[in-house]
Amino acid sequence: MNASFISTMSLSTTLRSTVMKGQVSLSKATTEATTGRHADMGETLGPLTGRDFSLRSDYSRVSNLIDTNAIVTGRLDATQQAISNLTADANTFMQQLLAARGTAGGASVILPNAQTNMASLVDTMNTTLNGQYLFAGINTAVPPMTSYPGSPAQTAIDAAFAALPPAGFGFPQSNTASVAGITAAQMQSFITTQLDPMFQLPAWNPTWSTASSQNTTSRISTTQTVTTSENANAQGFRDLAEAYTMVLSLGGSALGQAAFQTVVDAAVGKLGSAVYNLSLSGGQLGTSQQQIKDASERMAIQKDLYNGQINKMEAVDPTEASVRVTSLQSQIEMSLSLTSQLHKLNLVDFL
Amino acid sequence: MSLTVALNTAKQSLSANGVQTAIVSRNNAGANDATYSRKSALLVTQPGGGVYVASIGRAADSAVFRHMLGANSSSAGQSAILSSLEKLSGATVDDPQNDQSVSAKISALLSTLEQYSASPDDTTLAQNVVTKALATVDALNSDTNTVQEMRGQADADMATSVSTINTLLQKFQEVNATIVKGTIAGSDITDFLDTRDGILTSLSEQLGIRTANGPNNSMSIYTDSGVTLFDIVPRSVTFAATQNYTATTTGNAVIIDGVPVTGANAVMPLQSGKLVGLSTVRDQLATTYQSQLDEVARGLISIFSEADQSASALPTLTGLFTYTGTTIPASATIVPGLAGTIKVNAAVDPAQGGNSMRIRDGGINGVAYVYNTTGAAGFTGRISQLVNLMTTQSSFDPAAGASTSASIINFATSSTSWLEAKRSSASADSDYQSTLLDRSNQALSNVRGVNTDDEMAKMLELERSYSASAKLIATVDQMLQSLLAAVR
Repeated sequence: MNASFISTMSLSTTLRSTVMKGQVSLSKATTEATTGRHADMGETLGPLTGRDFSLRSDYSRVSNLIDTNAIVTGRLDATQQAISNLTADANTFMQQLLAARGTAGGASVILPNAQTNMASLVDTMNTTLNGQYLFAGINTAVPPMTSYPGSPAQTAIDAAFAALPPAGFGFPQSNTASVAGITAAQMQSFITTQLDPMFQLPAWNPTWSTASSQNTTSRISTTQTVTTSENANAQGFRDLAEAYTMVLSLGGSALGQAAFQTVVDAAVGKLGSAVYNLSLSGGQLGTSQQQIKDASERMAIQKDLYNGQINKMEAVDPTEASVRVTSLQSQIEMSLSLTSQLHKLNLVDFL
Repeated sequence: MSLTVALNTAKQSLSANGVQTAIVSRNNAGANDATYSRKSALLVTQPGGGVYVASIGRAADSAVFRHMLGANSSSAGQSAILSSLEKLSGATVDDPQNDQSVSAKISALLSTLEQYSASPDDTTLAQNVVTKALATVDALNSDTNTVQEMRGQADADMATSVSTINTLLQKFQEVNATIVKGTIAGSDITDFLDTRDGILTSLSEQLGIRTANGPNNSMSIYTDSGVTLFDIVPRSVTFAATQNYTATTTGNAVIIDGVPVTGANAVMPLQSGKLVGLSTVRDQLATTYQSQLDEVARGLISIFSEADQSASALPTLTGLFTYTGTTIPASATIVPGLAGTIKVNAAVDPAQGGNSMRIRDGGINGVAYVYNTTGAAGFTGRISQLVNLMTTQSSFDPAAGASTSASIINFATSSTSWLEAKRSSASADSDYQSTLLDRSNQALSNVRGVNTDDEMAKMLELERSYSASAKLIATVDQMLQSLLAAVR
């Protein structure tokens, strides 16, 4: 008898526990069918949970870097624009200088142009984007240059001009009679020995510019860092400033024809060097721009990959889940109806 | 006088029938009691006819019962571990998409640092880094609280468990004594045996037990590790509860009969039961997880530490993240409780009068520690260094049970993996154990339980036998009457 004996209690508990287990699974399956993700991520993934977290962390890092790259790109675009504007100015001025070289009174014609160009150079160097001075190196909070008239730079040049020979000429530029007497050789010597050194580093700082020679660097991907600015101490900008200064502050229209031509020749030389060096700076920044573009594109692909992997780990096939819901429902229904059927099976009812 | 013999036999049959009916009734009453075992009358035929109920038996199978006790212990232990791990995982990890975990907070901190490095002059971004640092510290502190509260809760549960064990042992002593007396007197002790089995079932939930039968149906109980729990008299089970838990607190061991049975110094450690589950949570799982949190805290403190920049051989001191001290803890060595005391340096937090720009410039510990010596607003050297350090591998204490060499974020995620792996396997184990317990209970119920239909059928038989006996008595009576009438 024992072999086929079953107690009334175990008969009813079997069904009860089946119903209970079914309900637990049903609640999980319902959540999964509606959200499309595992109901209990940690329990399902187990030791792989950490990997899921790593992927999420990588994903947010990469998305963030793509965003910051957009900011850096904006800064570089503005810098490139400024440099190409300055190059255009320099080229135009060079033509004007060459035109004025042989003309009598040419000096007075190009003087206003030199003033405008100098002002535009200073303005450009002081360009800001989101409150950052683009050409200040890492010293982004301070405008790198001050307006030329009355600046420490002008004072320094005036002092050098008025210094006693053999260094200077021994009289100020306003002394037109004496200025007219400066020979071409004297002017050439003054430019080479006095003027040129003022535009070399480190004499350039801080008289002309307070910029830091250290350029800003930016992290453009999880591993890459690139230079993302050009500072006002670069050769091209110094050459430009020197060329404009020669025309503005070395006596100008008061000079004799020979001395004026020396000044013009020197200025044209500097402008040529400036254009060359500006293109070098632009080229360097262009490389950075290309690197950022490449990095952003690469990271966009990575981002998709990470997203795909996260989905693979976390997602549940909603169709499968909803099928599971249906089958669990019918299973529970069956258990419940069986329970009531079994309760009807009682000997007492048949006596 | 064979008629008198027939009458006597019928009378005996009636009384035996009465006892059997009473048993059917008892069985029906106990049909829904899990501890009740089916009773049956042992009928003995007397020489010369007639029957009587010699004794009352009970359906039992000690092997199945022992198996059920074992399953009960394992299941209770496993479910204690699982519920703690579930609480821990819910409070400290949660769903990955909620970004509540420590690793998610650190990852957010790294992202904001990278953002800050793109615009190092932006105060708002610096402030954002401080906010993320505060969130990280907050997560570490509150996780430490959760872990230590859990240890305290496990300790309190152990105390409850121990007092339950003592109460059960007292009851066991009474019942056991009654059984021994009843056995000697030859009275019906089956109900007391049921009660004793019930006590053993309750006891096995608290700790794993083995039983040994003695003379006169007496019983001794031993723990599954062999310590005497009850032999004639109950042995003392003692435990001194600890009220407040910190990372450095070590909980007391449960002592049975003078022998420590839980914890690292247990001579005869318990193998199963709720007590084992609770002490595993209190002394191993929670402390290991705490060590991992402490290692995360130590990693953060050392990554953000500030080195001397003035070449005067000053010591390296704590930076953005600090704790009660300012020296940097030794590498790859757990500092117990560090995750509970880690905080954001007041010199950096604007809410505490600090300057968030010190993240870029350094100088949290004074002028000698300033990295940005020129005060340039676009200085990214320090921030880049921090970003690099956060993504560089460093060593972690192997005792923490997570990665030994990883970046801070990967160490934190490996800690999450550790926790979820434990929970996942505990959940599978617990499912298995509870299924096993269900099956054992079912097997036991089928061995000793009551089938009401069966009892009803028995009742019908008894009814028939009763009417037959009654009919016999009536017939014998009639026969005697006819005899007496003939005599008269």
